[in-house]
Amino acid sequence: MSPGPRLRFVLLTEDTGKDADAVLRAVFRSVLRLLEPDLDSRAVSLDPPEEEAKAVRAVVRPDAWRGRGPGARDRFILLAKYIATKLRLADTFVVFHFHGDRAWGRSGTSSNTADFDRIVSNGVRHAFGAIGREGDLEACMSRLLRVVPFYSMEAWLYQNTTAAADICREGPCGGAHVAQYEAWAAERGALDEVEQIKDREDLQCLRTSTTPASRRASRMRRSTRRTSPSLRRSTSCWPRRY
Amino acid sequence: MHHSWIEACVEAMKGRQVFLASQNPLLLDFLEFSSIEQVQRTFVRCQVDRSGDAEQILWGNFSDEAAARFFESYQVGIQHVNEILRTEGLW
Repeated sequence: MSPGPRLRFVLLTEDTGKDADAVLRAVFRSVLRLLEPDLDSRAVSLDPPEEEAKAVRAVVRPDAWRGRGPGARDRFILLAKYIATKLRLADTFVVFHFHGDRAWGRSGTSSNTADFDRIVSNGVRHAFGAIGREGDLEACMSRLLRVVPFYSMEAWLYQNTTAAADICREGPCGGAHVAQYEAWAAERGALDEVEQIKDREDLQCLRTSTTPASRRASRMRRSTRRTSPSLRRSTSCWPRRY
Repeated sequence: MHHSWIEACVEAMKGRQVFLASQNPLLLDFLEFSSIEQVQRTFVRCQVDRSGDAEQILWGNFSDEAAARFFESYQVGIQHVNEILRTEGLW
Protein backbone atom coordinates (compact mmCIF):
# COMPACT_ATOMS: atom_id res chain seq x y z
CA MET A 1 0.00 0.00 0.00
CA SER A 2 1.39 3.40 -0.92
CA PRO A 3 1.78 5.93 1.89
CA GLY A 4 -0.73 8.79 2.04
CA PRO A 5 0.24 12.33 1.12
CA ARG A 6 2.84 13.95 3.35
CA LEU A 7 1.37 17.41 2.96
CA ARG A 8 -2.27 18.35 2.77
CA PHE A 9 -3.61 21.63 1.44
CA VAL A 10 -7.27 22.54 1.98
CA LEU A 11 -8.27 24.86 -0.86
CA LEU A 12 -10.84 27.59 -0.24
CA THR A 13 -11.79 30.05 -2.95
CA GLU A 14 -14.22 32.94 -3.01
CA ASP A 15 -14.84 32.24 -6.71
CA THR A 16 -18.18 30.62 -7.38
CA GLY A 17 -17.70 29.47 -10.98
CA LYS A 18 -18.24 25.80 -11.71
CA ASP A 19 -14.53 25.22 -12.30
CA ALA A 20 -13.34 27.46 -9.44
CA ASP A 21 -11.99 24.55 -7.38
CA ALA A 22 -10.16 23.09 -10.35
CA VAL A 23 -8.65 26.45 -11.26
CA LEU A 24 -7.36 27.09 -7.76
CA ARG A 25 -5.99 23.57 -7.57
CA ALA A 26 -4.14 23.94 -10.88
CA VAL A 27 -2.84 27.43 -10.14
CA PHE A 28 -1.75 26.50 -6.63
CA ARG A 29 -0.03 23.35 -7.87
CA SER A 30 1.88 25.46 -10.38
CA VAL A 31 2.89 27.98 -7.75
CA LEU A 32 4.00 25.22 -5.40
CA ARG A 33 6.11 23.78 -8.19
CA LEU A 34 7.76 27.17 -8.65
CA LEU A 35 8.54 27.42 -4.95
CA GLU A 36 9.54 23.81 -4.37
CA PRO A 37 10.69 22.28 -7.66
CA ASP A 38 11.86 19.11 -5.89
CA LEU A 39 8.58 18.49 -4.09
CA ASP A 40 7.12 15.12 -5.08
CA SER A 41 3.60 15.87 -6.30
CA ARG A 42 2.48 12.42 -5.10
CA ALA A 43 3.28 13.52 -1.56
CA VAL A 44 0.84 16.41 -1.76
CA SER A 45 -2.95 16.46 -1.64
CA LEU A 46 -4.81 19.56 -2.80
CA ASP A 47 -8.45 19.28 -1.81
CA PRO A 48 -11.37 21.71 -1.64
CA PRO A 49 -14.04 21.09 1.01
CA GLU A 50 -16.41 18.24 0.29
CA GLU A 51 -18.98 19.05 -2.38
CA GLU A 52 -21.76 18.65 0.18
CA ALA A 53 -20.07 20.87 2.77
CA LYS A 54 -22.39 23.73 1.89
CA ALA A 55 -21.83 25.34 5.27
CA VAL A 56 -18.21 26.02 4.32
CA ARG A 57 -18.75 26.73 0.66
CA ALA A 58 -21.42 29.34 1.39
CA VAL A 59 -19.26 31.35 3.76
CA VAL A 60 -16.12 31.63 1.63
CA ARG A 61 -18.11 33.70 -0.88
CA PRO A 62 -17.04 37.36 -0.97
CA ASP A 63 -19.96 38.88 0.94
CA ALA A 64 -20.20 36.01 3.38
CA TRP A 65 -16.67 35.93 4.76
CA ARG A 66 -16.96 39.67 5.27
CA GLY A 67 -19.88 38.94 7.55
CA ARG A 68 -22.78 40.26 5.50
CA GLY A 69 -26.20 38.76 5.00
CA PRO A 70 -28.59 36.78 7.17
CA GLY A 71 -27.04 33.99 9.25
CA ALA A 72 -23.60 35.44 8.60
CA ARG A 73 -22.42 35.23 12.20
CA ASP A 74 -23.26 31.54 12.56
CA ARG A 75 -21.63 30.72 9.23
CA PHE A 76 -18.54 32.77 10.02
CA ILE A 77 -17.95 31.06 13.37
CA LEU A 78 -18.38 27.74 11.61
CA LEU A 79 -15.74 28.73 9.04
CA ALA A 80 -13.26 30.04 11.63
CA LYS A 81 -13.50 26.83 13.66
CA TYR A 82 -13.23 24.70 10.51
CA ILE A 83 -10.03 26.48 9.45
CA ALA A 84 -8.62 26.33 12.98
CA THR A 85 -9.30 22.59 13.14
CA LYS A 86 -7.54 21.98 9.84
CA LEU A 87 -4.56 24.09 10.91
CA ARG A 88 -4.18 21.98 14.05
CA LEU A 89 -3.76 18.83 11.99
CA ALA A 90 -0.18 17.80 11.28
CA ASP A 91 1.30 18.96 7.96
CA THR A 92 -1.98 20.54 6.90
CA PHE A 93 -2.27 23.96 5.28
CA VAL A 94 -5.33 26.04 4.48
CA VAL A 95 -5.12 28.01 1.24
CA PHE A 96 -7.61 30.89 1.01
CA HIS A 97 -8.04 32.63 -2.31
CA PHE A 98 -9.62 36.05 -2.67
CA HIS A 99 -9.14 38.71 -5.33
CA GLY A 100 -7.29 41.99 -4.95
CA ASP A 101 -10.10 43.62 -6.97
CA ARG A 102 -7.67 46.28 -8.20
CA ALA A 103 -4.93 46.56 -10.74
CA TRP A 104 -1.62 46.13 -8.94
CA GLY A 105 -0.73 49.80 -9.38
CA ARG A 106 -3.71 50.66 -7.17
CA SER A 107 -3.24 47.79 -4.74
CA GLY A 108 -2.74 50.28 -1.94
CA THR A 109 -6.40 51.22 -2.20
CA SER A 110 -7.65 47.63 -1.78
CA SER A 111 -8.79 46.77 1.71
CA ASN A 112 -9.28 43.08 0.92
CA THR A 113 -6.09 41.82 2.56
CA ALA A 114 -6.63 43.99 5.63
CA ASP A 115 -10.27 42.81 5.77
CA PHE A 116 -9.13 39.21 5.57
CA ASP A 117 -6.64 39.65 8.39
CA ARG A 118 -9.11 41.55 10.53
CA ILE A 119 -12.02 39.20 9.98
CA VAL A 120 -10.81 35.72 9.01
CA SER A 121 -7.33 35.54 10.56
CA ASN A 122 -8.54 37.05 13.82
CA GLY A 123 -11.58 34.77 13.82
CA VAL A 124 -9.36 31.74 13.43
CA ARG A 125 -7.09 32.94 16.25
CA HIS A 126 -10.13 33.26 18.52
CA ALA A 127 -11.31 29.81 17.47
CA PHE A 128 -8.10 28.29 18.78
CA GLY A 129 -9.20 29.63 22.15
CA ALA A 130 -7.49 28.09 25.10
CA ILE A 131 -6.36 24.88 23.49
CA GLY A 132 -3.06 26.11 22.09
CA ARG A 133 0.02 27.68 23.58
CA GLU A 134 1.21 30.87 21.96
CA GLY A 135 4.06 29.18 20.04
CA ASP A 136 1.67 26.54 18.68
CA LEU A 137 -0.77 29.24 17.65
CA GLU A 138 1.77 31.09 15.53
CA ALA A 139 2.96 27.84 13.96
CA CYS A 140 -0.61 27.00 13.05
CA MET A 141 -1.37 30.47 11.72
CA SER A 142 1.72 30.34 9.50
CA ARG A 143 0.00 27.52 7.62
CA LEU A 144 -2.93 29.75 6.63
CA LEU A 145 -1.82 30.79 3.16
CA ARG A 146 -3.39 33.76 1.40
CA VAL A 147 -3.65 33.63 -2.37
CA VAL A 148 -4.36 37.18 -3.53
CA PRO A 149 -3.92 37.84 -7.24
CA PHE A 150 -4.45 41.38 -8.53
CA TYR A 151 -6.87 42.12 -10.22
CA SER A 152 -8.19 38.57 -10.06
CA MET A 153 -7.17 34.97 -10.54
CA GLU A 154 -6.89 35.48 -14.30
CA ALA A 155 -3.75 37.55 -13.70
CA TRP A 156 -2.04 34.31 -12.72
CA LEU A 157 -4.13 31.96 -14.82
CA TYR A 158 -3.32 33.76 -18.08
CA GLN A 159 0.40 33.60 -17.32
CA ASN A 160 0.38 30.44 -19.38
CA THR A 161 0.77 32.60 -22.45
CA THR A 162 1.94 29.75 -24.67
CA ALA A 163 -1.31 27.89 -24.10
CA ALA A 164 -3.28 31.14 -24.48
CA ALA A 165 -1.68 31.83 -27.87
CA ASP A 166 -2.42 28.25 -29.01
CA ILE A 167 -6.07 28.60 -27.96
CA CYS A 168 -6.34 31.90 -29.82
CA ARG A 169 -4.82 30.45 -33.00
CA GLU A 170 -7.06 27.39 -32.91
CA GLY A 171 -10.28 29.29 -32.14
CA PRO A 172 -12.47 31.69 -34.14
CA CYS A 173 -10.04 34.57 -33.49
CA GLY A 174 -7.49 32.86 -35.69
CA GLY A 175 -4.57 34.23 -33.69
CA ALA A 176 -5.77 37.85 -33.55
CA HIS A 177 -4.64 38.21 -29.93
CA VAL A 178 -1.39 36.31 -30.08
CA ALA A 179 0.59 39.55 -30.07
CA GLN A 180 -1.06 40.48 -26.76
CA TYR A 181 -0.11 37.15 -25.20
CA GLU A 182 3.42 37.46 -26.50
CA ALA A 183 3.63 40.94 -25.00
CA TRP A 184 2.57 39.53 -21.63
CA ALA A 185 5.14 36.78 -21.99
CA ALA A 186 7.80 39.44 -22.37
CA GLU A 187 6.44 41.61 -19.53
CA ARG A 188 4.74 39.27 -17.10
CA GLY A 189 4.04 41.85 -14.43
CA ALA A 190 1.79 43.64 -16.94
CA LEU A 191 -0.99 41.11 -16.31
CA ASP A 192 -1.28 42.41 -12.75
CA GLU A 193 -2.10 45.81 -14.18
CA VAL A 194 -5.10 44.79 -16.28
CA GLU A 195 -8.38 45.97 -14.72
CA GLN A 196 -11.32 43.54 -14.74
CA ILE A 197 -9.33 41.15 -16.86
CA LYS A 198 -12.21 38.66 -17.03
CA ASP A 199 -14.41 41.14 -18.86
CA ARG A 200 -11.88 42.21 -21.48
CA GLU A 201 -13.49 41.98 -24.90
CA ASP A 202 -10.14 41.34 -26.57
CA LEU A 203 -9.64 38.18 -24.51
CA GLN A 204 -12.84 36.46 -25.47
CA CYS A 205 -10.86 33.61 -26.97
CA LEU A 206 -9.83 32.57 -23.46
CA ARG A 207 -13.23 33.08 -21.90
CA THR A 208 -15.08 31.13 -24.52
CA SER A 209 -12.43 28.46 -25.02
CA THR A 210 -13.48 24.89 -24.50
CA THR A 211 -10.10 24.23 -22.94
CA PRO A 212 -10.79 24.11 -19.21
CA ALA A 213 -9.28 26.98 -17.28
CA SER A 214 -7.61 24.49 -14.99
CA ARG A 215 -5.67 23.01 -17.90
CA ARG A 216 -4.57 26.45 -18.99
CA ALA A 217 -3.26 27.01 -15.49
CA SER A 218 -1.39 23.77 -15.39
CA ARG A 219 1.89 25.33 -16.45
CA MET A 220 3.10 28.57 -14.99
CA ARG A 221 6.44 29.93 -15.98
CA ARG A 222 9.23 30.30 -13.49
CA SER A 223 9.67 33.94 -14.48
CA THR A 224 6.15 34.66 -13.26
CA ARG A 225 7.28 34.67 -9.67
CA ARG A 226 10.05 37.12 -10.36
CA THR A 227 7.86 39.52 -12.28
CA SER A 228 4.29 39.20 -11.03
CA PRO A 229 4.18 41.50 -8.02
CA SER A 230 0.96 40.05 -6.62
CA LEU A 231 2.34 36.51 -6.79
CA ARG A 232 5.57 37.65 -5.19
CA ARG A 233 3.72 39.38 -2.38
CA SER A 234 1.38 36.43 -1.72
CA THR A 235 4.17 33.87 -1.58
CA SER A 236 6.48 36.06 0.49
CA CYS A 237 4.25 35.36 3.52
CA TRP A 238 4.29 31.60 3.01
CA PRO A 239 6.64 29.17 4.76
CA ARG A 240 10.08 28.83 3.16
CA ARG A 241 10.12 25.01 3.17
CA TYR A 242 7.40 22.36 2.92
CA MET B 1 -34.41 20.87 25.38
CA HIS B 2 -31.95 22.39 27.83
CA HIS B 3 -28.31 21.24 27.74
CA SER B 4 -28.53 19.63 31.17
CA TRP B 5 -31.63 17.65 30.17
CA ILE B 6 -29.89 16.27 27.11
CA GLU B 7 -26.85 15.43 29.17
CA ALA B 8 -29.04 13.58 31.68
CA CYS B 9 -30.87 11.70 28.91
CA VAL B 10 -27.63 10.66 27.18
CA GLU B 11 -26.24 9.53 30.54
CA ALA B 12 -29.39 7.51 31.26
CA MET B 13 -29.10 5.76 27.87
CA LYS B 14 -25.49 4.67 28.38
CA GLY B 15 -24.82 0.94 28.04
CA ARG B 16 -27.94 0.32 25.97
CA GLN B 17 -28.49 0.19 22.27
CA VAL B 18 -30.65 3.14 21.32
CA PHE B 19 -31.86 4.63 18.06
CA LEU B 20 -32.12 8.40 18.06
CA ALA B 21 -33.33 10.54 15.18
CA SER B 22 -32.84 14.24 15.64
CA GLN B 23 -32.33 17.44 13.68
CA ASN B 24 -31.21 19.15 16.87
CA PRO B 25 -27.46 19.81 16.89
CA LEU B 26 -27.32 19.80 20.68
CA LEU B 27 -28.08 16.10 20.93
CA LEU B 28 -25.28 15.30 18.51
CA ASP B 29 -22.87 17.47 20.49
CA PHE B 30 -23.29 15.25 23.54
CA LEU B 31 -22.15 12.12 21.73
CA GLU B 32 -18.64 10.86 22.49
CA PHE B 33 -16.25 8.89 20.33
CA SER B 34 -13.07 6.99 21.04
CA SER B 35 -12.32 5.44 17.63
CA ILE B 36 -13.03 5.64 13.92
CA GLU B 37 -14.93 2.36 14.18
CA GLN B 38 -17.18 3.85 16.83
CA VAL B 39 -17.91 6.80 14.54
CA GLN B 40 -18.89 4.38 11.79
CA ARG B 41 -21.09 2.35 14.12
CA THR B 42 -22.79 5.39 15.63
CA PHE B 43 -24.01 7.37 12.66
CA VAL B 44 -26.58 6.21 10.15
CA ARG B 45 -26.85 8.80 7.45
CA CYS B 46 -29.94 9.33 5.34
CA GLN B 47 -29.36 10.83 1.90
CA VAL B 48 -31.55 11.54 -1.08
CA ASP B 49 -30.07 10.28 -4.32
CA ARG B 50 -31.51 12.11 -7.31
CA SER B 51 -31.09 10.84 -10.83
CA GLY B 52 -33.32 12.67 -13.30
CA ASP B 53 -36.85 12.83 -11.91
CA ALA B 54 -36.31 9.80 -9.70
CA GLU B 55 -35.45 10.10 -6.04
CA GLN B 56 -34.15 7.36 -3.82
CA ILE B 57 -33.49 7.52 -0.11
CA LEU B 58 -30.23 5.88 0.89
CA TRP B 59 -29.36 4.85 4.42
CA GLY B 60 -25.84 3.93 5.39
CA ASN B 61 -22.95 4.26 7.78
CA PHE B 62 -20.11 6.65 6.98
CA SER B 63 -17.46 5.41 4.57
CA ASP B 64 -14.04 4.58 6.04
CA GLU B 65 -12.69 7.83 4.65
CA ALA B 66 -15.55 9.99 5.99
CA ALA B 67 -15.36 8.38 9.44
CA ALA B 68 -11.61 8.96 9.56
CA ARG B 69 -12.08 12.58 8.50
CA PHE B 70 -14.69 13.11 11.18
CA PHE B 71 -12.63 11.48 13.93
CA GLU B 72 -9.51 13.42 13.01
CA SER B 73 -11.36 16.71 13.45
CA TYR B 74 -13.16 15.44 16.57
CA GLN B 75 -9.83 14.72 18.24
CA VAL B 76 -8.62 18.29 17.67
CA GLY B 77 -11.35 19.49 20.02
CA ILE B 78 -12.24 22.86 18.48
CA GLN B 79 -15.49 22.01 16.70
CA HIS B 80 -18.65 20.61 18.16
CA VAL B 81 -19.88 17.33 16.68
CA ASN B 82 -22.62 19.07 14.70
CA GLU B 83 -20.10 21.55 13.29
CA ILE B 84 -17.79 18.77 12.11
CA LEU B 85 -20.70 17.05 10.41
CA ARG B 86 -21.76 20.26 8.67
CA THR B 87 -18.30 21.38 7.56
CA GLU B 88 -17.31 17.93 6.33
CA GLY B 89 -20.47 17.64 4.25
CA LEU B 90 -21.87 14.81 6.36
CA TRP B 91 -25.05 16.56 7.53
